[in-house]
Amino acid sequence: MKKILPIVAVIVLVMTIVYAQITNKIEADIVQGYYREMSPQAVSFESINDRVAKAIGADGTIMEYLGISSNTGYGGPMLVGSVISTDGVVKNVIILEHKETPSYIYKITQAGFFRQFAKAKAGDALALDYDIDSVSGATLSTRAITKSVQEVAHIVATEELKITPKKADLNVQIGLKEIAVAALFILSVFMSRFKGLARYRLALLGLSVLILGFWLNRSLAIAHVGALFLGYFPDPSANLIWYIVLAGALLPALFTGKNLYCTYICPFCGLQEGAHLISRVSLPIAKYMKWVRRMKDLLLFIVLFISFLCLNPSIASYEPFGTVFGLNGSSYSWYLLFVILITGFFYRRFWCIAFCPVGTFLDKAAGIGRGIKRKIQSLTSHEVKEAIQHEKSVG
Amino acid sequence: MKNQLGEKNRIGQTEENKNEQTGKITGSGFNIDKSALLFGGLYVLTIILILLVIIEGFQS
Repeated sequence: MKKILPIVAVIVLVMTIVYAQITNKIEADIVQGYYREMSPQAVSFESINDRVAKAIGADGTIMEYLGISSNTGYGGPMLVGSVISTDGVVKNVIILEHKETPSYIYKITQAGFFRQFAKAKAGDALALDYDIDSVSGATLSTRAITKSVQEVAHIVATEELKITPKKADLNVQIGLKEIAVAALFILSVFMSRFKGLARYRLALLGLSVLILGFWLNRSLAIAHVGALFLGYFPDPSANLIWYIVLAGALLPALFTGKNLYCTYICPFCGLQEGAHLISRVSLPIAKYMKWVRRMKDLLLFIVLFISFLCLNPSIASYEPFGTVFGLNGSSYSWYLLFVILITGFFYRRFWCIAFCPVGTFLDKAAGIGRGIKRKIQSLTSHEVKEAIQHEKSVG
Repeated sequence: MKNQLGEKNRIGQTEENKNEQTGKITGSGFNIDKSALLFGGLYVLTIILILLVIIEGFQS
């Protein structure tokens, strides 16, 4: 039973992704529905391609061009509608569907992000941090919106207006932020390799609280894992840190069989260690560990199942990372954070031990890594034994 | 050895003292581990808050 359950869980999760993907395709009539929402006065819509169309008025002339496009924001894909006038000016940008935290959308709207498109033309580069300014703290959402507008506008420009759109000279950005995050992961590998460095673990965690936590607010969350399995990969030229954090946590677990992220990097773990350092109290929980582990596995399964079913990596995310480091969360998120930090004074790393879905996932990955390692070792030792026996028999 | 009336046993311990040391609340028919109560309470409270956060995420 113990061995069968994880296999059943994985099969159920894979089937959930397949089912959700099959039932989630945008059908032609839904696209038409969005066109009608964007251009209510149009009588009909003449397709340019499956996502871009001409809105035809009562007199049979082209009123405007319409298009919908999807790009990955922070929480998953965002479906954005763009309306472009016949002279190539971006008239309107509408978010049709999104999976972002509502406070991000509110932030974008309040910052006047959409007003920037009022003067934009279909032939402009329409690239974030080039001719469109991002909104600090909602960069990924604003990037997804801008990319969607760009895709529709450039199709209209080339296909209908016969204009060659400008190109933005944007390369993969490797700056101080990317280097700092990569350095944290490299240091964690060194600390796990050289025992003499292990005493600096709390210092590294403290550094991570500052860099990955309060400065960048880019802790590894279960949304990263969900996005990985759903194939929602952000543009590396715009969001290299996403890849550094995911690879930095997952690859060492798979290759070394050790969960280095939770031990050396996780900023929320750093905060809990801080709480423990203040209280110095560590009440025993060893006798509850058996069912705590089972509940943690169940929580991970539930979160992934809901994410896959809704094709939304962040929908069931309950982690308090964004609340504490981004000061951004619902009322219950704040209550949860408060309870976790208070509990951290009595039980060392209470969140990590009992609830963290990312930690559970990385532990599973490390377990797979150890299994592979054992298999390779047994194979090589078997080969060595065979070689010795062969030599003996020849001799 | 067993003494429900709180009288000293052979090693000089009363039952109440023993229970304080082991963290058990005793009474008429009750025998609760205080540390289990604290852990269980905090655990259940956290689970309830997690569920509320998930439900709130769905509603928004």
